[in-house]
Amino acid sequence: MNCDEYLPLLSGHLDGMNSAIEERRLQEHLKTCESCRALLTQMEQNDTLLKDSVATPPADLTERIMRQVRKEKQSSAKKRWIPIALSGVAAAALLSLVFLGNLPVLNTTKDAAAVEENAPEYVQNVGKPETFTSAKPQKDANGAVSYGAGAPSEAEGVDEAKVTHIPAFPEVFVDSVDPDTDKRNPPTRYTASAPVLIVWNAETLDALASFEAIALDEFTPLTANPVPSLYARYQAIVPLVRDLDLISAGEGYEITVYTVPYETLMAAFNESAGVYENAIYYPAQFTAPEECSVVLIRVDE
Amino acid sequence: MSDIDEKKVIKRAVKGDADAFEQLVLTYQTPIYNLCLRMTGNPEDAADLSQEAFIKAWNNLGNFQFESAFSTWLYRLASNACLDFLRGVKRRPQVSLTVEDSDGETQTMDFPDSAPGPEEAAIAKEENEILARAMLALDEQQRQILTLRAINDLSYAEIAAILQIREGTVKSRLARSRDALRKILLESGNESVFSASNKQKGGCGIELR
Repeated sequence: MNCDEYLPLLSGHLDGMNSAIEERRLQEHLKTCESCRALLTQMEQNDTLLKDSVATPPADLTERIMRQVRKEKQSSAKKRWIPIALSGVAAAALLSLVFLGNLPVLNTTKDAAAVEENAPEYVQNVGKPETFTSAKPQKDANGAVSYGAGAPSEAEGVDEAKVTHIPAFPEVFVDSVDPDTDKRNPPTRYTASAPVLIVWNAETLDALASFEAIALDEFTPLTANPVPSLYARYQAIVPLVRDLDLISAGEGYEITVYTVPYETLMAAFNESAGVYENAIYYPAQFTAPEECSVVLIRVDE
Repeated sequence: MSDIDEKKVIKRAVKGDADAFEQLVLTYQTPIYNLCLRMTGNPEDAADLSQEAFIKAWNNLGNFQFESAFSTWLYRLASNACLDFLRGVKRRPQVSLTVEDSDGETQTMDFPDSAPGPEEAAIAKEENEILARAMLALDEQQRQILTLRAINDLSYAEIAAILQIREGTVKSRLARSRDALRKILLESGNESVFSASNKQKGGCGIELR
């Protein structure tokens, strides 16, 4: 008889993790097999030894850890802090590079149609992805920022009404960096089941850039879901978003990238008062860029 | 600390509350330290690695997702810190232990020479020292899973979540680890210690204290 097959059952018995059938088989076997009985005894003894060998951490371990925790907090607070007023436009540029830079084709009607036509069913259900580009903000002699008529670029052929239309979302999170700790300060949760609107500012992006997870040139092509390359690129943001632990759920995301004046975004929020009651999650720590990209993530349920 | 209380504490810690984080340290330092101790065999390294794991947790709390238990995440950070450390210390002086494997072939198993100094050795129970050495003769995966199960008393489900393996794999890996530990203890000639203890206890257990 080969006793090797009883090894997992002996171990499972010690942990109380055998099924009733497994346990019966083991007990039957133990009745007739002296060596397995000895084996079980030895394993039991070793387990007892292990259990009794629990060591007490050094008395000063907590103190050591907490001293460093408090020190890290202090030292990082001293780090360079870029004034957001300077980096607002840069933020927009960078965000555009990150997201829109990977989605150039989405700006054309033809490709948008292709997306709609070839997109998987769940995408058609939630509406076609759209990208809007606003007019560039203009500074006058006094440095005041204006957006002209506030209309998006004519050349893009985008209807202003669409720009200001931000779909209703139950929750809006602002993902920012805490100036006090210099740490990325994402909302404590992104719901996986509800659509999520995430606004990133420059500091967030700076912080994100230090995460290894961002490897913008390493987007994984979607092979499981063969769709036109346009759509694959569009969907390539998904692994990025996942890598960053922004959301975590099964398959079925849709991401739309908007680039809008921040004011437009806020106006849209304000118009939907009630819906966006808690729109700004960290108001004290979020300073508006002049223009921002909005990454809209829908999660198919 | 109940799950709900822990969530509240974590939320405070996420917002930068160091006192809240201290509560988490107090709750988890013993199991984390024990994992690091069994992985490295050296109390000083274990303390350093525990500290490293907690600091890593503190710095990355913002990324913590409540869908996994905080403890799972913390164990994973500590496990990874230990594995990284062990890869780095392979070049340190080693002592060898000769072990016969299941095919009857003699294998030499190396582990870092982390024997306690004479003072500690005098204090330490002989059985505990033998056990510690035997644990170090196991491969990293084996002593990791044995520590999580037999020392830290985690469930199969918890271990599966930490190691990101299926529960079935937990069960089979534990069986092989227990068998390997048993063989090492027998082969390293320490069975006399256990059989002597057995006689004192009438063969049904081991008197350790």
